[in-house]
Amino acid sequence: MTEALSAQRIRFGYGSRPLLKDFSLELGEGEFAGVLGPNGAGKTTVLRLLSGTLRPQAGIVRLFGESLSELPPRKRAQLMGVVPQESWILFPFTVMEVVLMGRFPHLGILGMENPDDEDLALTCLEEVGMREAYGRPLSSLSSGERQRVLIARALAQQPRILLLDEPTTFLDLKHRLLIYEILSRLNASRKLAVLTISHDLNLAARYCGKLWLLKEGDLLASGSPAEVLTPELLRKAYETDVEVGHDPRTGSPFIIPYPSQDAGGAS
Amino acid sequence: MRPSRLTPRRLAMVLLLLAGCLLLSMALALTMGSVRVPPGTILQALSGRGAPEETSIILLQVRLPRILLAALTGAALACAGASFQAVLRNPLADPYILGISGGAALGAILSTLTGGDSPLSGVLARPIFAFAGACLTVLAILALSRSRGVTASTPMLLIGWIFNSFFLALILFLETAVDFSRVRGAIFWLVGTLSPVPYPVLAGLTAAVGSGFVILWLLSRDFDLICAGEETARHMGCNVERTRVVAILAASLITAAVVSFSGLIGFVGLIVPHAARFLFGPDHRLLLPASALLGSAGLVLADALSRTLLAPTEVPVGVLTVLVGGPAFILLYRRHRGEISHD
Repeated sequence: MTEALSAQRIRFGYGSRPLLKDFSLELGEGEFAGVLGPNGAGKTTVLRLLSGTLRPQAGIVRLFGESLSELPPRKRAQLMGVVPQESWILFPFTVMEVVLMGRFPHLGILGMENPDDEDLALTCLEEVGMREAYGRPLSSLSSGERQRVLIARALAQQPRILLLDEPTTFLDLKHRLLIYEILSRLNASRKLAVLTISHDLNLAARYCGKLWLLKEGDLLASGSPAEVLTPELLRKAYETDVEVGHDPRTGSPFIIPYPSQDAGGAS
Repeated sequence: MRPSRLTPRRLAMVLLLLAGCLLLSMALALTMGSVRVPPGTILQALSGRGAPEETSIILLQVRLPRILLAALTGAALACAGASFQAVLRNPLADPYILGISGGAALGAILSTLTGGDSPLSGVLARPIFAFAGACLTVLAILALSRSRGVTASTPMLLIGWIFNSFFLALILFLETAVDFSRVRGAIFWLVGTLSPVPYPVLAGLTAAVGSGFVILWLLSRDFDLICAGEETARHMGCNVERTRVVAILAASLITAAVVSFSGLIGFVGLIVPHAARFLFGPDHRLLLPASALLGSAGLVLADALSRTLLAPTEVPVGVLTVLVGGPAFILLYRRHRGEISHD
């Protein structure tokens, strides 16, 4: 089986300062996985390398078996959708206009969307529960609603893998849960592979089947949530004492942080 | 509310409507001037029969070429403004405000100073020097206002404005150094004036502006994507670097072409795209041609006004556009303050 996305010993840094050292990752088709780590661990660098914004200085990234750096931009966009953290847009584009932008990789030069594209965009909005908002300017929406529209825009590319850059950072409790519910549903119904770069340990623990834990550009651990989210590893990654319990309803681990016992941290 | 998506039908309807407005404004401008000519006489002169010879000369050798120059200049500046606003991700970008027109003017003047005023240098060397001046200015602005891969709008406006002042001073200095009697002409040129140019020159100008416009229009969907963010545009399959370079070259080309013959006409590239966006929405596939037609009609009328407002004296049309554009800039600045400080 070809992996949907794979990175083999990729490395990136500026000057002598490495941001990511020999990182490897494999994401199968239809998998739901997450990259975790504290600030400065290299999460954003991982996302930019995996999405093709940055080129690794060593190693290779493959998307469905093909070298990412050699794929033409439109072809890449047909396979992979990326949901950015930043949802601001210049000029008052409406929700529908924003989602239709996702059709770009499927249209030629000056190509205009046809009624089928519009139906598809509406379906994508339906999937994220934003169908009614299609005529509103994007800027009039709350950050949680905007995030959902951006997921719909990525879906309009009809990708087979979705990358999300900290999709819940600026959101309230309701929306944080809602975003992961939407992703989990898409993952199940469309066999869409999902990779989130995340801060949110408890949500990642509940929804992701596979995790990678980073610290200062090093991979600390990878595996199932139970294997990665252990008190020892989290203490090492976040320099904070944690208690790991088990969610009585889902059985997934959940993490409660405490101030570190020894003042020097765990390094 | 505008329809949910842009259809070829809607595109055609809006552009036909605006083309009609442009033709009307040109017809109106033909009647206006120090001598009023009734519409009937204009038709006679245009068809080449029945009009008094003196009137025919006024209409065909003086007014019409000037109106055509105004139409081309308005279209080029508005289209360049809309394109710069998108690729520089700055809602207040305008070839004049950013000093791009100033760079083109400096290039044009350098060519006349070095090559003299032979007909060949006037028609060929001038636009080429102007093009070089405009391109170098945008590239310098882009380099200076970018840090860590992000362009910041406010520093860009400041740097552009400084460039503009510097170029204007340099132009005046050069003109004074070469020939004191030319300063008055230089000043007149710096505020932007339209005067009749020979028809072959108009044809060349049309070719330059037309090809630049086609290139920009082919990139118009990429412009929409870049509005959503550079990285985001890349994720959706847009080749951002190539789009930006090609768009800057094409927009500089059309700016330089018209600045070579009309001088510095300010704020057209700022106001017109905003008006078009307000009327027809931000989709660049419609916005670029709509801005071009609207800018065309607008400058034709502004020029007609400049000929008649204080007749028989003429107000340079650049004075009128800045008088309208200055306050409009402040209004737009207040409206887009959030977006500008966002970067």
